[in-house]
Amino acid sequence: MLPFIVRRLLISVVVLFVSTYGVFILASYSGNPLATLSTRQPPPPPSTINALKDQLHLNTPVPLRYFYWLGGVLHGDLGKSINNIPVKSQIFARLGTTTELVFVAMIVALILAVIAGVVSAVKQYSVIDYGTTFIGFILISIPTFWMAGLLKDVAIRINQDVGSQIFSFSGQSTPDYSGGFFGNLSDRASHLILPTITLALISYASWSRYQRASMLDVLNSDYLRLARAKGVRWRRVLVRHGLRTALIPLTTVVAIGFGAIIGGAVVTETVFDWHGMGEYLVQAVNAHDTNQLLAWLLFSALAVVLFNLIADVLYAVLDPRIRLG
Amino acid sequence: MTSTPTAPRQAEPGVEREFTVAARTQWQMVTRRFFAHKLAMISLTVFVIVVGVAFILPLFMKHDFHYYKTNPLSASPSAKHLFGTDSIGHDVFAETLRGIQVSVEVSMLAMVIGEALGIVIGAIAGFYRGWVDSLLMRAVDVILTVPVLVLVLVLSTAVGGSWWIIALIIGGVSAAPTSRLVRSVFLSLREREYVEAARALGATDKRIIWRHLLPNSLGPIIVDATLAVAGAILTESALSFIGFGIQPPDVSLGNLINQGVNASQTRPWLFYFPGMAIIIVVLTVNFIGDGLRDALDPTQQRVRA
Repeated sequence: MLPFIVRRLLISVVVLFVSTYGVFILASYSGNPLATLSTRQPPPPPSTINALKDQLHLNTPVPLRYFYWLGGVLHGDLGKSINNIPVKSQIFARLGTTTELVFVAMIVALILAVIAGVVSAVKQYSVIDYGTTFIGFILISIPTFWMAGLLKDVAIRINQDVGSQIFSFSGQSTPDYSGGFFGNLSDRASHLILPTITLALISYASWSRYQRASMLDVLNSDYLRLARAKGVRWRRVLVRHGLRTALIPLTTVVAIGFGAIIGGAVVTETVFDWHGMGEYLVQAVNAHDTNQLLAWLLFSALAVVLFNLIADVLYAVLDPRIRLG
Repeated sequence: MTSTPTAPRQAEPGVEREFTVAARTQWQMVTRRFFAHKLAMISLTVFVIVVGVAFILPLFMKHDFHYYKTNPLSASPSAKHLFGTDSIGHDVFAETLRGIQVSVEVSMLAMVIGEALGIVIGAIAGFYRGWVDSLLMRAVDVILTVPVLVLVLVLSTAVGGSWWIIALIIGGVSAAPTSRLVRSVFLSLREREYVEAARALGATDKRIIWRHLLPNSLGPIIVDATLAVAGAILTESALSFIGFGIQPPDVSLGNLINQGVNASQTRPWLFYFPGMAIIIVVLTVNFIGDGLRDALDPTQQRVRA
């Protein structure tokens, strides 16, 4: 297993290099980062612009400019944004914010998906089965941003009816709010709940369908019939023999879907005014800020690559028949 | 079994025979199964009606979607303005129809490009294997490390934002997963006996690919194509929603919803009607895809996964 992991890590390094290089080239040709600066009134002196050009290495040809960035990253320096703020000082708080959102959403989605998938597989062709399938189809067809807007609208109406701020939908916590430990906790929870549901529902739909299919596979298998024939109780058969095996394919599906969740997080953060990685990305693209953009990409690509690796290893651990090679 | 005109004469009247002499081709069976799939047929009907209305009705409307001058401002839905108007006076119904047009145009073009590119790459990788395969698949891996939305975002700022460029980009990016699918189908088909037989008879690679492998992998490709349409609609609208993609003065369902999302309390029609339009179009496409999947792959249990 160790050689496999090492080889995969080496390939991942190459993949990371190529994808950051490609995005760097694209971003560099997408527009002039100093365009907004030179239209400013009064126009900044040429010396300022030249100094900035030097600092951003804009006089170096694009294919070579990347290596300034790479050199910095290898020394733990993510460079500076166009506004001359070190990217490193901005990104970690944002990374924490988005990680919180993504992970809570993934866990919620997984729990819901497994329950729905198993129930609709066990009760195949029942009302519950058709119901969850239909709801799944609808959820897959709803754009993330519309779902976010819908939840926001419903939450505002509920808040108005109840007459208090149960749901918050702007930012990840109330600014300058201090209500002790539990007060802060409930404040965060009230901010987290809507974005999490938005993000969770998107993944839930496809995951529950996979879970249903893999559970059906297992339910029709011989060893499950044998377990029943031996007289093992149905509930025990389902959980110990059925569910445990049926969960394995889901690891791959979750890993592959991780990129989509990050994309969904960008949109979700936009709607709920979260100051996370998504907002950072949109800012970066708008300002043609390659350092910001690449920092975003570095972390998301790293996460995607790591998730795929973990899924492969986990797959082999859970299912000993699979040999890594 | 409706009519069996060529049934053997000695069949007793009223006795159902299980076989007929006239054989059906595979595609006849597929269309039969698809037409029997109720949800898919309803979806196909709804899809055709919605898209037909979106393309044909504007030709007969007095004003196009840009018009606002004599319209009331922020009017709620009425007989004159079915979906109401926005704060400038744009008719939301006309804008929504235009949005559906844009969605359909972008997604169809993206699907055609994505499938064509994906089939070519996947076919080459799956058929020739070896280093060509490794090279192509590693390139696909690289593309897949960047979330689709982000890749499209960066590309669309790099090369501008008219609808066909956006379609090109979405299509190009969606070719990556399609090529994986086609490759895996080709890898398994190329080991079949009929391919071996064709090769033994002296068929060229070109002939094997065009006459044997491609027709037999059409099933998964068709299903993938419908899902690609749904995916492209969602990607384009998300892109336009966050302010990239289709730019004003043209409208897309994404930038319509962006204008409506903060007005959902006071003027819900700005938010709900364009949203419903996306959901109906994407949902019907997904159901059509599901029906095609069931029709094309009868060996699969009727499990929707």
